[in-house]
Amino acid sequence: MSEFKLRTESLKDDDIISLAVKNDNDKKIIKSLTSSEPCLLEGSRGTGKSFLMKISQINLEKKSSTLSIFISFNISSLINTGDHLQFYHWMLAKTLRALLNKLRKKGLSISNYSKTLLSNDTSESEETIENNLKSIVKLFENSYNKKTTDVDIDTLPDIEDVKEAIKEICKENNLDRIYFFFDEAAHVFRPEQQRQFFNLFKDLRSPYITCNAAIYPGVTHFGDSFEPIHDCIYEVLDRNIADNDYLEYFKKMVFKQADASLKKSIKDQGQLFNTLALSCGGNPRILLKTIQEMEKFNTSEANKVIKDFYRVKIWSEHTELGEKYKGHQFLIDWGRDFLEKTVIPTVITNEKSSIYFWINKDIPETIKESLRLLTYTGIIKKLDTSTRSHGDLGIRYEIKYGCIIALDSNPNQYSTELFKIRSIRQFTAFGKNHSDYEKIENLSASILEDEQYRESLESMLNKSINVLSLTNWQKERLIASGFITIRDLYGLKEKDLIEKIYQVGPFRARVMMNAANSELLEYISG
Amino acid sequence: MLNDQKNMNIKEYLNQLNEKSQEIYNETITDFDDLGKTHHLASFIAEFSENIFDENEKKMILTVAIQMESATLNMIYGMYRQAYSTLRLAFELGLGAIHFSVHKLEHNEWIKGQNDIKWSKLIDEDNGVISERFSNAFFPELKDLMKDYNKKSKDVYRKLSEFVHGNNGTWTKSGLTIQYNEELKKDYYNSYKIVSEILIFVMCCRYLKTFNQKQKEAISVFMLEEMQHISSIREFLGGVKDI
Repeated sequence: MSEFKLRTESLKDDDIISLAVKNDNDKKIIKSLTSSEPCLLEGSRGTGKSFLMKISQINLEKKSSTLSIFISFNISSLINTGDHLQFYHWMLAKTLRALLNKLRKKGLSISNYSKTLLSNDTSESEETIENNLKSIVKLFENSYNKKTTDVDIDTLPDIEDVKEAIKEICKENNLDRIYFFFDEAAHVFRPEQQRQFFNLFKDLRSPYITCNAAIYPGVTHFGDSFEPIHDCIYEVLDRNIADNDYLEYFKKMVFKQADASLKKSIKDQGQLFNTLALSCGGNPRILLKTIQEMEKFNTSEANKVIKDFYRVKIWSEHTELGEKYKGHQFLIDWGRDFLEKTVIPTVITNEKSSIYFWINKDIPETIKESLRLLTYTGIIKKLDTSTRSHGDLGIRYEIKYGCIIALDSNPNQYSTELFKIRSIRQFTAFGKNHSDYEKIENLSASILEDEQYRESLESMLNKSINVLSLTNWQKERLIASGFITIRDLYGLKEKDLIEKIYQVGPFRARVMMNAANSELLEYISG
Repeated sequence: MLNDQKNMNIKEYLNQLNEKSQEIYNETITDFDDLGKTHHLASFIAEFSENIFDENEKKMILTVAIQMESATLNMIYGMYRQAYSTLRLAFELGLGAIHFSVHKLEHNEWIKGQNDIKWSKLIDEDNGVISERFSNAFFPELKDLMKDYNKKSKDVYRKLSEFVHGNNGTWTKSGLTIQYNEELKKDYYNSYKIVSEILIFVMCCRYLKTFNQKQKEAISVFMLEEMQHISSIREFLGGVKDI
């Protein structure tokens, strides 16, 4: 089967333009993302948020009066200090570094190394606006690099200084505005970091700056100073299987990457393609991935892939979240059990039901959090928040179509029946009390707050170096030299090990440091 | 035209050449985006060199970056043949540095002037710096891309070499007089982009896995903008994973 590009990040700009398929909602989102107003774009994983942000950025790049910068905070968990503001400063420094990078790319700033070609060098001490910005970045970077000491916040530049520097850059270079696109923003499941992100998002508001960010449905900690409705345009990226153009839209999207033989197969077996497209529940990445996994485009292969993906893989992905975000593991596992063992079996045996379910709005907070995590993976989708059932208000969800039909022995055949009878008015209701809820009702206090995350990180750092993937000899050498815990290793350089441990040269030092770093990264990777 | 002017002295002659070059300079200097990009790419190669442990390799890679800037300087003044030639030199020197990083004996001989960089060795499909063998040793996840980059390298090298060797077609293209040439200029930018991408790719293949977290952080802003389409490099630098 054709080899598809599944992630926007794997595409070069030229490919992005040629692969783009836009429906009315996509166009509306692009318009919002290229407007001067800040915009938040909500969508589950793989729905195409990055793709639309990238198209918007490319559109803006065509204008000489704007600069647009893409930023990703995907290793943010590495910053962990007692100072809440340090994450803020870390994000700010990253943002400004990316701006400096773009200024150089656009020819608006010159690299310091260029002085090798210029006899009258332009050194970094020269008072230029770009150098001013560089020194601001350095101050912020130093503030979070000093992990053990308290940093005097008063010595750091104010956000107003940053905005002033950006204003000067715009004026100097005849730029109307600088756009920041925060991809993967605030995806780390740490409420305090989410709040800090939205503080920065709001603080950067200026006549010369527009911030846009992609967020997941589970992101809810906006902080006290940021109100999504008032402080930005809030767009939701949702491709509804009930839309008239849904199937045609996805067909066009697949055709952009399909080879001639696959195109012919899809044309010949339209119904089969429809089953696969409906199964993905509006998620292009999943559709492309499932088609890519088919050895041949035929019914038996489609049934096999649907069963494998929507019964096994999609759930594995959800469960893996729990391994990544330890503090949420219980909630993630409970959500999976609730859906797999209670909701879906009830939904498919209820003859009035289809792919929708309703849940009372007064359910415990832990249940809401579990369901939010399921929307993050995209296994369920929140449709609305105030629908009545038997007099009570509640939230309606759609279960991913593929997860329902995958349970049948012949998913493709079942799909033709299900799609016809499916009706949003027919939903299975779950009240505010249910025996399943009791399993996590005492968890309310354990939804991870930063304090606890830090504590768990502390315990990780206090672990013996014996847990690392090293040979016994290497471990013995480390212990004999006074490196007892992972904390003792973290922050050290290889040369420190070479100096301090007899018989350890560059190779062994690298192995030892890699083991310590990978253990830590594995644990806290965001 | 210049030959028609009989009574010109050397100073007047060179002044006229200078004026001609200045005209081309003024025409080319408006390419803000393209010129910014070329400087950006060379600057990154220079920055990357700062993270290389071996001093001689570091020095060679920095020279590559400077040569790339010199190539663009030639291009801006309309000396297209010299620009292509310098770009080829930078390309060879860059791949040569990587080759020497795994052949220390040859490197030291080269430093002493007793050995040359041989293109055929660099580009050897089985044992060169853009081979599966090479990626297997330093960055196995890039293995599947080596063939493609090897071909790309040969193609761009051949193109640049046509100007160095003075192949007949290139005289028509670059002309015998100093003259602004839009087509050659665009072609130069394109070749420059390809050369930079290959060099950065090969440098990543050779060195990236030796970098510590701080070094990775230092290059990641550039890398995650320019090279993120290569998923194994993106993932190694902390970017999102392919599913």
